Amino acid sequence: MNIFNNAALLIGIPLLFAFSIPLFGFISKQLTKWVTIFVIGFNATFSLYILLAHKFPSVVVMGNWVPPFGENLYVGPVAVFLVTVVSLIGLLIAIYNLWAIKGGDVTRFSVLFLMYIAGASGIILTGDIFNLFIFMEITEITSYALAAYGPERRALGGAFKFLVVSSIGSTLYLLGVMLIYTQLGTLNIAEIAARIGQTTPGLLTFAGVLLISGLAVEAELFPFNGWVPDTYTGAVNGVSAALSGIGAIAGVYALFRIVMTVLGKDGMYVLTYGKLDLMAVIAILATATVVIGELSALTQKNVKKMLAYSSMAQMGLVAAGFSIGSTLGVYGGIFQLINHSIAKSMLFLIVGVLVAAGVGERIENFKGLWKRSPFLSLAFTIGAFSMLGFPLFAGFWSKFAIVGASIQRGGWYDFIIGLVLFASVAEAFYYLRIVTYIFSSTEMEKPKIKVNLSPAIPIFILAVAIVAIGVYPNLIGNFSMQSAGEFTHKMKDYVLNVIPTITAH
Amino acid sequence: MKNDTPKVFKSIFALFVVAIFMIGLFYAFVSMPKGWGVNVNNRVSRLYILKNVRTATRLLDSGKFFAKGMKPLRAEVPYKPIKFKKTANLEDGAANVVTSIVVDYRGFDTLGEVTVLFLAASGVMMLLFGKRVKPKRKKTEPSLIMYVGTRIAFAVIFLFGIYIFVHGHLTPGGGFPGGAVIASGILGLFLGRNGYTPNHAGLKVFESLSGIAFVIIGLIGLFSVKSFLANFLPTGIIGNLYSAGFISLIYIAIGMKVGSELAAVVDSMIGDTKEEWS
Repeated sequence: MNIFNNAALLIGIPLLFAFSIPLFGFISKQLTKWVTIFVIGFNATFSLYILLAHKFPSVVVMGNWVPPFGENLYVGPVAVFLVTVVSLIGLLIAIYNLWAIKGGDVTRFSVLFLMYIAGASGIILTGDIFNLFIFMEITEITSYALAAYGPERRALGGAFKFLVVSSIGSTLYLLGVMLIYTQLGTLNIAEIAARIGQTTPGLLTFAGVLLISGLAVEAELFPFNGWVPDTYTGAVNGVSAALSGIGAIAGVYALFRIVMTVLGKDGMYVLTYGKLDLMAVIAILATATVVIGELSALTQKNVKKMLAYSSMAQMGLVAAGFSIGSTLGVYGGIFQLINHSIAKSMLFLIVGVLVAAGVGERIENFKGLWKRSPFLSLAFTIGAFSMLGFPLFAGFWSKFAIVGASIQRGGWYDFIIGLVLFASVAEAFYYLRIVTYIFSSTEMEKPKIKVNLSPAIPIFILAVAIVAIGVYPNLIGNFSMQSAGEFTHKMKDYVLNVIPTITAH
Repeated sequence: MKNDTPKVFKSIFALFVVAIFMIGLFYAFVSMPKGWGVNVNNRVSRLYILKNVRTATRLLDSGKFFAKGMKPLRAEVPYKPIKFKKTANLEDGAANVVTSIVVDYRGFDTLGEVTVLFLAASGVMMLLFGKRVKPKRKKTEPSLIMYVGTRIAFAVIFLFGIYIFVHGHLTPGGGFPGGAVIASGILGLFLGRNGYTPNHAGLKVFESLSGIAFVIIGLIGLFSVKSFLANFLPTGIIGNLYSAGFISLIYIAIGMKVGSELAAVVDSMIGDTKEEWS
């Protein structure tokens, strides 16, 4: 067990500054946005340092009580990698917010945005199921407050929908935690993971269903994702980008940490304990999510709503990749998750710039965009190609890996090949429709769109990242491959790193 | 579900969901294990058993769960009685067990809970932000008894709130209830006088400073004991006011934070605002 307690600063520093931002707000409202950028920048550099200096796998002991007794954070390959991605994307969106967030209570917006990033990092880092619940609360409360921000009335409706759904979800999650606690008397993920075989199968199945229903709200799986279209459409574009780029990563991570590490069996293909194989349940939910999301996105005329449905469908693909249960499948899932976050947050930022310039959100409004702003048109095209999995763009490699994993697993999992192809065809249809509109010419000459530096930087960096990953996939692929092992070999790569003396049951 | 769905279907659907839930819960509890047979050698360590009170008492009373050749624990770990106001330097030192778990063993969760409350208050205030406008409705003037009574009661309530969170490690209570009691005193002031406004800037500063204090206590632990939120003070004699290390410090910070936060929420909900977007 390596101990690296300084990694607690990844949570501590954002908390410290979140509490002090109201004080900075007395000096100037503009300053609070810079404080947010500074703190998220610290998180990004620190997590990048941990990733590149290879300080993982290690355990952060909280309050000087060693893991089974106190709380701990686990800084494993997955955690470091995902926290780095979350803070980098958060940093870019914070730079965008510098320009986009003007009216209203800017100070409190900065507090909430900072804590949204910190809460998502907390979900990813924590090694305790109750602590996971606390960080889930933090991300959910901040996200529905952020979603309600803005001058438009529809923001309130979307935020309220999300509030109701996510409150029910976190209650169900808490009930599942309680059922597991009655059996094992512990909340530590590593200890539960090692001793999960001691519980009774009936109770474990029910607890697992409750946990999945709670976590699927944030992971956007089918019966629990009714909030997605309204919330994404209503929110300010910076917030929509954060919801799809950061919240989705945290939600999917939490879901599969619980299902694969806590409830799963060690083996070639991860199955779960209990009377029901929950991995198969997730595969079915993921299929439903992809089909419903893609078919709904096809009919949308509003670009933001279309992006929201597409985001839902992509989360389904990610979950399908994970549910294959082999290392290659998890690799594909994580890779797809990262690619989706990069591309989708970029697309939302572009829509934000276009709406601010008076272009509008409907598909017809995109006509002749190439003449008006070549930069935004190119970036949108790159994002769209990555989403639909065009070769030499980032999305291609992850979809390729998911297909490869389902071929490797065989059996009834072969249907995932068809699922990925169906998703690609549907995405090609509705994304290329917009791209065609962008490059078609119009009779009327419209004024050129001037893009400020502050939104241009994040869009440029994200677009370059997509092309870079597409040309050289090992940039992300190596880290994803390292992370995948942590999900599939839970004893070797997770439990024994946290509690070295424990034996599996 | 659309609004034109017949009411019968809605009720049947609701009943269906509830039924599934009840059956699942019933099944889960029916299938709970009857015995608690635990093989000690497979657990983390033998000392670990002492933390789980139920198993520990069972194991100490009858040595049958122990493997052969393993000495009973009672001989190994001598029984030391803990006396109120006499025993010193305990592991945690708080007389109130709930507090020692909430603030010391699981202090990180409490930091998270404080943040949840802070964010909820921030969200409410962000939504209600705007230019203050005069309320249109007529207000009835409170009676003299109300006016004088709330002001007298405020001092007593304030003192009681402070008592609750300062004695959090000794008696039931702590930072959250103490803060709520203080906020209820301020609510009384709102009721007692028309047009009462607390000092907004003061509340904000107070709230921020107490939150910062909590995190800084955690960071002091990180730099002195090398662990975030670790106890860096001596635990003292159990039952004394100055005991249990940093628990009382944290509870003071929490109490002040919760009190000022709830008061600010009440204030922002009472006042009428008009949204303004530039």
